[in-house]
Amino acid sequence: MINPKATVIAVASLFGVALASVLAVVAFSDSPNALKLHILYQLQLPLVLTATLVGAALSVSGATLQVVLRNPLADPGIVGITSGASLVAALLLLITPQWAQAYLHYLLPLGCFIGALATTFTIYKLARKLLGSSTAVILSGIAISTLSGAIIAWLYLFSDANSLRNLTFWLMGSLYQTSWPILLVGGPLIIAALWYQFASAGSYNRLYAGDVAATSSGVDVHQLTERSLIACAIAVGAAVSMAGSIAFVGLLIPHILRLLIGHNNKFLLPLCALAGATLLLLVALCSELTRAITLPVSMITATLGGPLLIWALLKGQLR
Amino acid sequence: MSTVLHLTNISLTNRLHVGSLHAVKGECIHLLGPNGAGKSSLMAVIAGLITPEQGEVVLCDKALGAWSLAELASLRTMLSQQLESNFALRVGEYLSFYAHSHRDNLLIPVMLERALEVELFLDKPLTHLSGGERQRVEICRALLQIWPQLEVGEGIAILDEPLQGLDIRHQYAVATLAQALCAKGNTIIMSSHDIALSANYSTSLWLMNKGHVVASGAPHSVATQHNLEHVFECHFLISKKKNFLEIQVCAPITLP
Repeated sequence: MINPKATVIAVASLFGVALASVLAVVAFSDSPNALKLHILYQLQLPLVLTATLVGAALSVSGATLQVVLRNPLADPGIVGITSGASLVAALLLLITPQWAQAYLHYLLPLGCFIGALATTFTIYKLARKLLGSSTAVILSGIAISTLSGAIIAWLYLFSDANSLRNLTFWLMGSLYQTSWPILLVGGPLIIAALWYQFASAGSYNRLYAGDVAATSSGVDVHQLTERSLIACAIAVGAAVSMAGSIAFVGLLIPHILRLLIGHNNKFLLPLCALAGATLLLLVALCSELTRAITLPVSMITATLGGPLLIWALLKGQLR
Repeated sequence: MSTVLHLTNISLTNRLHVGSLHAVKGECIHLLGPNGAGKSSLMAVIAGLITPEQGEVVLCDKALGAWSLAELASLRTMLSQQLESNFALRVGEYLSFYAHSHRDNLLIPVMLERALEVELFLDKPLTHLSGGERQRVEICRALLQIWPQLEVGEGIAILDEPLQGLDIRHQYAVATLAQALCAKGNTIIMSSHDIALSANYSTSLWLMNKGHVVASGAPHSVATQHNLEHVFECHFLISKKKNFLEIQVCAPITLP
């Protein structure tokens, strides 16, 4: 374990630097001041807020799912929450009739949110029918993800070129799809869901010792699991409806942070929020610097995250 | 001394049928019986983790159902048989989640440390411990949960096979720790497969077979040749030396 305080300071300053750099890209451009203000308000602030909220939602939910499902492999993507949202997005993008296209901008986030909640519900019901164990949740999650993946693949066959490009971007994630109304609805949802998870950190700590020990120490494990799954579905559903499906953040950030500051969720979850936000701000910075080509978010998170995760795994094994 | 636990007509289909059973404050009860006799089920019922289909459990003059999870958590603790942990958290961190000590300063009470010797691996990841070391950490965790109660002699510890996997020295250390805690007024109910140890380190024995408690009471009246041979289907040699019951297992009666 490296010094926790140093880690917190490092992550916090990285967050500050990333935030400042994204804003500086426009501030130091040679546009007139009025235009700068307009860009700041209409593009930069939504971008920064989206990156912060989505990054925090994904990594905190990942950390929570891993503890609640007693499986270090859990991640909003693997558990199937993202795939449900993506499926609804795909359906809406390809099937929405011409007259409704104008409302697509609002239909899409709403649909994603409903999709995320619906898959979580299905997965949970299915898991309870199976073994009722946390492994069953993951297995059902994989089953549902595979099914949604298959349906999306079929939809590809029946779509035109324009919808196809839209869909691809949606499935790879983008930080430029939000607008203020969506942020004002999604933001509070994410904050509320994260607040619940932070507040449950003490109970999550007890789960490391198993169901019986946690129950005997006063944690209602069944209720905690149910509510945490709902909180994760809300946070991830809102995140996906803002930025499409972004892979890997929920797996990567918690694993690296556990190596750096340990497993105490009271510190881990808030720091996950900060680190997740920082990672997506860095992605936003990359996109800002390469304005000419639009980079899908998952591509960058995977490029940055893959090597980091391998390092984290090796370090974890060697200890 | 007052009764801390009273069970009446408990039943769980195909698992447990217990008529009337009680525990007095300060008793050190060892639960004996072959595999599948219902020891774990009985302990889970007593701990309030399984609600019996029929019957009533009264803990400290109050029906178990009337206790809230939080109230129960500060009064009694339950050690279940070992579970895998997928997370490589440090032992110190793991214990601190269950301890009542202030913030980051995890203090293992002297009495626990003397029997369990866990301070050596506080900095090790949980996943790097051997089975016996892990078991010592688990016992420590379970007892830390209600340590404020244990210290004043008001705690109830329900331990499912705490001796499992321990080396011989630690087996006796844990059995002695249980005795010492009971001497302070705490009540301990633990299951064990070491009949000779249990007969000498308990104040009462509960002997279980096929979901029934077939005998309960003082060790010398429960650990009789007749009872043990009937329940364990082995030949036993029992001799009494002053305050010590010497129990030897000879050969199984029915195994082919």
